[in-house]
Amino acid sequence: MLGVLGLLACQEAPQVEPPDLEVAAGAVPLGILAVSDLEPAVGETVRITAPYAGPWPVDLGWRGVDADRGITAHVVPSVPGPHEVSAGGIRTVLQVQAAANRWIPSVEVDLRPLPALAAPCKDRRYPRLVGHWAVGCGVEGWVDRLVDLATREVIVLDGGGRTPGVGTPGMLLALDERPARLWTLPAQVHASIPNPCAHPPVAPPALAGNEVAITTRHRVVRFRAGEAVARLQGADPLPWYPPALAGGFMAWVDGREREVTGTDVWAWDGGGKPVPVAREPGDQRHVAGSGHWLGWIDDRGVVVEDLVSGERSTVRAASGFRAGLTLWGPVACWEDRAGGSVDVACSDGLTIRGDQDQGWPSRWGPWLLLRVDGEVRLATARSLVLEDDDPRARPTAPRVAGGHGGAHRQGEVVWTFDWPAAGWCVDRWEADSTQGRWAPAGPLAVGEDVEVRHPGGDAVRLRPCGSEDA
Amino acid sequence: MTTKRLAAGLSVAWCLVVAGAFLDLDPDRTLAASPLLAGARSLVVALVALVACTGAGGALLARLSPGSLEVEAGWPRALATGLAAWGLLSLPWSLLFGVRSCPLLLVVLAAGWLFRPPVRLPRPGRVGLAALGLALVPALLGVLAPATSTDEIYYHVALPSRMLGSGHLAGGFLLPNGSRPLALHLPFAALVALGGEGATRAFCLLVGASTLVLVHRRARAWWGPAAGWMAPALLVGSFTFLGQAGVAGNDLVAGFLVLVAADALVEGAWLVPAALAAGGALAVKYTAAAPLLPLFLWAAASARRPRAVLRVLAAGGVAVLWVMPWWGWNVAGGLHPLFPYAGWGEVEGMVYSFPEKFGLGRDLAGWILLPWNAVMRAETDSTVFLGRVNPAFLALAPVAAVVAVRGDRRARALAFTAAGGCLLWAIGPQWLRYLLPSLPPAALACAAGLARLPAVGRWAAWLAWAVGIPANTGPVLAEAVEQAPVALGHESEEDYRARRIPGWTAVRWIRDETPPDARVALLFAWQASPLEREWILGSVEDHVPSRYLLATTGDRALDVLAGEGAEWLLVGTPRFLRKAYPFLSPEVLHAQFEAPVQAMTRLLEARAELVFEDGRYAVWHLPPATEAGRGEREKPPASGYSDRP
Repeated sequence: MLGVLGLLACQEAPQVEPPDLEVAAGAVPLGILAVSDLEPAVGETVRITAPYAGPWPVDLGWRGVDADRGITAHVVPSVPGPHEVSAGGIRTVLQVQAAANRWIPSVEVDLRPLPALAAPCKDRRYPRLVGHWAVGCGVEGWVDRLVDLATREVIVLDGGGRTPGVGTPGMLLALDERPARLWTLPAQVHASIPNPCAHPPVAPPALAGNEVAITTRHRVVRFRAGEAVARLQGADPLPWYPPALAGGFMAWVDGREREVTGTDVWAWDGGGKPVPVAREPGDQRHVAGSGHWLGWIDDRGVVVEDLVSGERSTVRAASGFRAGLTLWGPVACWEDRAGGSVDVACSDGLTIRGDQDQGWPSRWGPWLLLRVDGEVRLATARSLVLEDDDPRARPTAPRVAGGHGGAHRQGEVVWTFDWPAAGWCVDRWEADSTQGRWAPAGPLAVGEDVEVRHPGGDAVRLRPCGSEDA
Repeated sequence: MTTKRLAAGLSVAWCLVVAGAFLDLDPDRTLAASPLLAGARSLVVALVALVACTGAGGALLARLSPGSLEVEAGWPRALATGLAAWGLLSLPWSLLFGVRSCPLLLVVLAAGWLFRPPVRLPRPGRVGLAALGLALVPALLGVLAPATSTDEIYYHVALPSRMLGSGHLAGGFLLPNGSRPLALHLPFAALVALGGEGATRAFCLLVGASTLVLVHRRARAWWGPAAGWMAPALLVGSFTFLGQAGVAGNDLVAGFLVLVAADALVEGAWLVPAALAAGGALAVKYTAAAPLLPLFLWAAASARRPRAVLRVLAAGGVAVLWVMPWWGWNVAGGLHPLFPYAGWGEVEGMVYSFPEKFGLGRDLAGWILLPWNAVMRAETDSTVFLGRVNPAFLALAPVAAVVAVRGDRRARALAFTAAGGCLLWAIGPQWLRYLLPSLPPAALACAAGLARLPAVGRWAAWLAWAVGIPANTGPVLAEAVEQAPVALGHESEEDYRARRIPGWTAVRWIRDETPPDARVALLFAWQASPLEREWILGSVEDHVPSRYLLATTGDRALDVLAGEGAEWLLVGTPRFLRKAYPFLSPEVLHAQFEAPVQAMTRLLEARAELVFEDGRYAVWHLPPATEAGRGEREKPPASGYSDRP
């Protein structure tokens, strides 16, 4: 017996225990309601969601809505003007407009092969765009080369990674070795940086500037490139889905309540505790981030939320996603199966359809990198139209009927966005009493947070300077 | 209590305390409790099962053929009879009471000991025990390690666990392995229930040990001590035998049952144990038919009187009858009796297996050189016979033939059995593991030949044996080295599986992220048992289930799977290399293998969602069939507006 007890007392191989999944205090810790349209038109159905962190079931005490189901509610405003909605002590004001743009214009593209990145990658999520670079693989299948889309220069990196993380403005991070390897594009040579995360990642890391976000088993980790100290929190991130960085938050697909609400999107600002962003029945997955926009896919379609204003728009999309979501600011692109085959659709009207398999989209600016039956192609938009109700627009006046798309602002509209392509110009839509036209407005700058203005409050069009449509 | 007893008790206690403390305080943590206790439990359960079978078999033979027990080989005959009975009774038992109650059948079998059958359990000598233990140490490590070999995790461990989980029998086009005779896999279910999956490995280990003990004792009794050592040495010196000793499988068990049948017919014409052992062997694995057919033919031919011939044929008939309930079970399920070996329907070009894939060619030169090639050029990790045997088999074959021809009746019977078994094996897939049922009779025949050699000849034979040891035991020892860390508790089972099972990260995703009652379809994948979920399809031969599904359902394949409740798909991307199928034209290879994979990929990308991928294995989520028509497939916003004036 004592010998048996001695045997039983022998140490066993260590087991990894999941941590306690603490959450930020408060029923709606983000302190903001997610609204499908903060400036809806009269008669438009507005969906409001409270990113709720408390126990179930829940009654948030909705006000100003037509119907509610726990953490979601609907309202159909009937008159223009401010309309207050509140739940859980948090209020938001809808600025109901008299008119709305009803059309998403089609976007014509030029589709060309990109032979420099023709070799298949071991990780099917590559090749992809990082700013104005297309990052892809050599014959070994490692992500080790890039094409500058502005100059078409091919740059081969020293080494590569099987599943690196990439991020704007042009960073590539490989964590498969220690120290970690960081490329600041277009530099060919990497910098060795410490990897303060002790555990192996379960998905490629997310990068935004110097900020790095990693998901590991039972943890989410953030650190700044070059620093040896990391911040971490207990979580239940799903393997394979990369995290995202947006608006100062790290977001990921979390499975802590998969038996109750399916997989959800949780976020962490790096200081406090994780908070739920989308904690609803169904599976929210494939998070992506760009600027202060966070996107994900749920059972209804593609969701993009402005983490600053709380505006959360949804585009209905057919189920069956192979590739994840790609974001350029608030513009989302995804694989679409509504037509019976696999196509690529974007929320700004850029679509690639055909009988072949169009998939694995990666979008930045006018460029869309995709694969057509496995062949890498680059689609370049011939023009892009930004409406006055674009999420990147900063309006100053109410919207009224008339103009491009069916509505326009009664004052100046300023758009702010990252623009990577040189040699483009801006046209403004100018309408008189009978019809409208595009009027040239000058060249478009290149860089981050580029501003475009329209004093007339209507749409602008971006196009290559000297193109026929001028 | 007397002082003497007290002192003895204290001494024992002190020894145990020292032993336990040494293990506990060992700075290197050489041994860990968890795997040792689990392994001990597995061994105990397997041993109890074998003893129970011996009791049941002994009770049965004591009524039907009492004289067959009153010899040294009484215990293996009792064991073989009990194994055959356990296999057969498992079918009606499972139908009546469910698979989860199978362990109770062991209690029924063990009740055979109440009838006090005159069975003497084997008592190997110390030297023999030491040699046996030493030879089977690698297999013992296998008992302590989790199952990771292909055949275990898609069939021999996966199927019993699956039936245990669901509580009922499995079979049909979605679970074709369940339509093979389950005479071993239902007993395996009982072993898994009582002792974990390691109990199946321990069971095979003990059956293998029983085979070695039996060939040693018979060879020694018939032809002397030299033969007594060579017979088991031939088996333990062959990768194909030794490599199976530490894994769950049916070849070793079939080989043991064939050996017992041969022994019963050769030594005294004991027809009852021969028939029952032969029937048990056929029900365990059809490849046992290869040596059994010539064995019974020899027995019939050597019978002196017509009545004796009829009795031999009747015994053969009983053996065939023993496996017929499994055919009847298939027919009752609307399947071909021999499904999955036959009965896949009229699918153009669909072939269950390609015998041409194995070996070194089936032309005239290949046939003539087959004995030489099978010994000299076999590879343990390729379709070039996929195994290895000791060269001493080939070295002793000529003298074994001479001895057989010159009048040794036992040697002639065994040589005829082995030769016939080898010939019939050669007609089918030339995979050396399928030759295993013929190896024990072959070992005995070769031992008989050794016994007739002068001393120098025996030394030469042992030299041939010794030369073959590195090539035959090397792969086994390499496998043991791989298993040692987890067997000794230095490595977690998780880490062990991660480095041994292809697609483990995908398997783990399913374990971690899907509900426990989720149903998983394995498409071009075979990692069934580690899923710990209810599964369908999986792989048989060249991914026949997946290919058949696509061939018969076309674009509805995923709808069919959704209708069967499979919400998660583990999908592999197999590579069908042309050089592995040189006998197929490129067009046929594409149509039979590459096109189905492409079709499946196309269907997945249209209907399912990729939720995980790592290398060649991916997990797809298949929405239930009802969701496909619920109206979610709305077109994106209309894009018909043109901004051109």
